[in-house]
Parts: sequence; structure tokens; C-alpha cells
Amino acid sequence: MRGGGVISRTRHKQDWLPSAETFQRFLAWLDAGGGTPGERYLEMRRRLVDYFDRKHCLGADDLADETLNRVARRLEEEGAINASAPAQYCYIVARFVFFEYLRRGDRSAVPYDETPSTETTSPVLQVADEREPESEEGTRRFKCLEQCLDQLPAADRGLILAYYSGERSTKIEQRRELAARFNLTPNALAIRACRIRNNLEECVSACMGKE
Amino acid sequence: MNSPAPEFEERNLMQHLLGLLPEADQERLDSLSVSDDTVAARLCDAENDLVDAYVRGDLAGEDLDRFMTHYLTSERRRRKVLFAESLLKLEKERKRVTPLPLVPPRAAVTKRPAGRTRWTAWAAVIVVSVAAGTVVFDDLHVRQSLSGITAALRALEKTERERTDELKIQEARTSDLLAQVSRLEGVVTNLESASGTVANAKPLLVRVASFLLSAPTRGIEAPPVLTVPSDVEQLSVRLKLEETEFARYRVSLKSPAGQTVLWQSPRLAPERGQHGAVLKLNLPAERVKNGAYRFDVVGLDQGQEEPVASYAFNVHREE
Repeated sequence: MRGGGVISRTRHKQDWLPSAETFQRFLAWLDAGGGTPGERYLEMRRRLVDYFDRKHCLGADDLADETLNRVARRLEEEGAINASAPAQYCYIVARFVFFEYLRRGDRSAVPYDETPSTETTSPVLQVADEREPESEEGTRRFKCLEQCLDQLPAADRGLILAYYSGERSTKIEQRRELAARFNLTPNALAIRACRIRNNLEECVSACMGKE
Repeated sequence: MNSPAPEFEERNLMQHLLGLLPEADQERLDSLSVSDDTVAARLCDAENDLVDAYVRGDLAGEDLDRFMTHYLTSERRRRKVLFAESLLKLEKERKRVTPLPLVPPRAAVTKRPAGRTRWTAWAAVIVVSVAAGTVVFDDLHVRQSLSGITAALRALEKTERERTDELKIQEARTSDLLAQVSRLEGVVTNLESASGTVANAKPLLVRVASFLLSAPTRGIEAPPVLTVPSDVEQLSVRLKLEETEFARYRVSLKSPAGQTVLWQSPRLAPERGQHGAVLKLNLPAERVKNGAYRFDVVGLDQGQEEPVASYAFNVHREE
């Protein structure tokens, strides 16, 4: 069901796959009357991927799909899920999927959490600057970014470039002005900026894969 | 948006991403990050800001440490860093292309009479209409013209609004740059006043720690540990080369994630000594802290770079 309508199989999953009708009902349930079922599904999937990724799970995408798969199956079996709100229920199932993942023992580098903190106290680890020679991959990524930006509506392009530019010290004021300009609350502006950036990142990844 | 979770400040969100929150809070934020729209959005925002801060070099201390050892452990998040680097590069290029105004732009904007654009637009439309011979008095045509004029006015007003916003943003940047210039002037003054003292001072001894790293093998040996005394200022490292098929090499010191170049050598010619062919590196000791690093060696051939070897090692800084 990754990004499009078919729940994919992985080695973690059982053989159950939703019918088109089940999938539509699942999308509608997840959206809870919001009017944008497809978007809501993609957003929930992204959150689940982030959740598993923060837990240092290998195959976070597969685990997110497994979670949504189970929720859809439960919905089909029960006809309705009234115990929790859809997003909350997804999290409950995700936790089960996570614990099963841990029990299976094919987990990744969780021990990073257990590594004693080192004693770095000054910002000596510097990032790439203009003096650093650009790698071929970096050049390709930059071209992809430009291409993907060109595909955005002008308003979105302007928003993301303004929202994420500037130094830390000026960002707060800059974002306040942006929110006023777009007639949005700061929170709504942040949501919109995040959504655009996520889409842009996916576009760049796809572009890198294509070339 | 559903129930907000005001108990989590921005700092908490960053700590969550760096794995620094107590377990109970971590668990609660995990739950909210999936089930609560507001928290999910705030966390997304905090993560982007965290990654941007890293690529801008704004992270320090424990935050930087945890970013390297905790956050960068996933492929997805390393991709986010690469994306942020591209975004930063784009911002820098845009700044280069668009010179900053020397005069504070807000003044320039506010001095312009509010109605000027509107009248200029009217004038432009009338001039264009006359030149094109399309001034007609038919009601229908007048309405159509007015509709076009309104659209033109709206477009002009929109453009002006956007320019005003851009100018505001540039004003903030100018102010930031002026502050930096002021700071640098202070540094120059201090250096000038200190130069007399330095000229009369006794030469300082630089403490150097020397290491020899063997060519990497295909085995599963643990990377060597370089123990660096606390008062060492310079590292002298010799990298043994298996082969010397290039006349010149370049060496990069990279972070554990391998995405960030922390230091880079000039073009180096291999030297022959008792250990065979080696590349001699001298770098500031402050470039490394406790942790895992690697030297990536590339051979240089007519402007092309060809990967030669990667020397993984761990650093232990003595107290």
C-alpha cells in the first residue's frame, strides 16, 4: 500500500491483502471525514516510518506497511474500530509491531542508545562549506533539487525557500512575517512548510534514483 | 488539529530526536508523534531545524555529539542531512546572485507613496491601450478593458507585495551581516593590539602526537585506537600505502557517518621511508574528539579523483 493503493508484502507480513473495497473503507476510516483520505493515509504512513526509524528499526517502511496492513485487516474483520481514534489506534498497533520486531531479534543498532556519551564540548565538527570540493553525487542532488523546486507551485517554492533560509537568530522573526504574508497561523505555516519539504525530499530521492 | 501537547517545548522535541529524553517522556512523545497532528507537525519542524542547524555548523556540545552518534545512525536521516546540505547550498547561491541592498530596504519601501503603483499601473495600461489603438467606447469593450486593467493592477500589487516581503527578508540578512562585520572589526582591533605583544613573545612549542596507520585490510579487525593526550595541538599521521599508482593524493578526514568532511589535506606526494610508501598528514588535533573517524584517500589523476583506500580508526582523547 506504499504511497498508492496496494499493501505490499514483506517477509514480516502475513498473506492477507485488502480488496479494493476494503482499502477504500480503510482510507475513509483513517481520514475520519476529513475529506482528504489519500493525503491522510500518506501522512500516517510517513509518521509511522519516522516512528520506526527513530526506534532504529531496520526496514522502517516495511514495518509501517505492516502496521497499516494489520489495521486494515482488523477493520475488515470487525467492521468498525471504535475503541480509539484512528491515529491513536495506528500507534497502538505500531507498538505491537515494534515489540514483535524486537522479539524476532533482527533489530538493528539499538545499542547506539546504550553507548556512553562522549565528551565533545566544542563545535569542532564542521560541516561542508564552499571550500569543500563537491562530490559528483552532491552535484547531482543539487540539480535534482533545482528540478524539483521548479515543479512546485510558485507560492510553495517561495514559502519553502524563505521558511528554511537564514540564520537561527533571524528565523523566528522571518517566519512570523511569512505567516502574516500567507495569512496562516505559525503552526499552520510549519505544517505546510514540513509537507512541502517532505514532498521535495521525496522528489529529490526519486530524481536521484532515476538518473 | 487535535489536542495540543503544550508540555513539550521545542527543546524537548529536539531532545526526543537526539534520544535524550527520559523514557516516559520519550514514550509519550512517540505516541503523540503518530496520533496528534499538532505534535507530529511540531516534531517534523523541529527535526528539519535540527538537521539544518547541523549542516550550518550551529550544533555544539552534547547536541552535536548525540546528533553524530544517535541521530545519524539511520539511512533515512542521513539522507535528510544530504538534502539539507543541498538546500543550504541553494540558499548560498541565491545570496550570491541577489546582491544585498546597501541602503536599508525598509526605508526604500516605505518612502514610496502607497498609491503610486496603482497610478503607475493605470498610466501604463492607458499608454499601452493608446499605442495599440484599442481605446474603444463600446460598453462591452470598456468592461473587458477594465477587467484587464484590474487583473494588471492585481498582478502589480502582488509583485510589489512579494518584493516588499523579499526586501524585509533581505533587511534581516543585512542586519545580520552588519552585526558580523561589527564583530569582525572587533576581532581585527584585538589582533592589532595583540600583535605587538606577539612580536616580542618567545616562540611557542606546539605539542604533536604522531601515529602510523597501516593500509586497511579486508579482515574484520577492529579499527585502531589513537590515544591523543589532552594537551596535544597537532596530529602527525602517516598513512601506509599498499601501492603508489598515483603521483598525488588527497586525504579527507570524515565523520562517523561519512557524510561530512572535517578536514582535508592539500595535494600530497607519497614519501618513502622505513615503513614503505606513506602519506604524511598534519592536522589540528581539535578536529577530532572521542569517537569513530576515517581517512578517505583518493588518487588524483588529471583532475579526476579515484578512491584508493579508507582508514577507519577510533580516537580516545585523554583527560
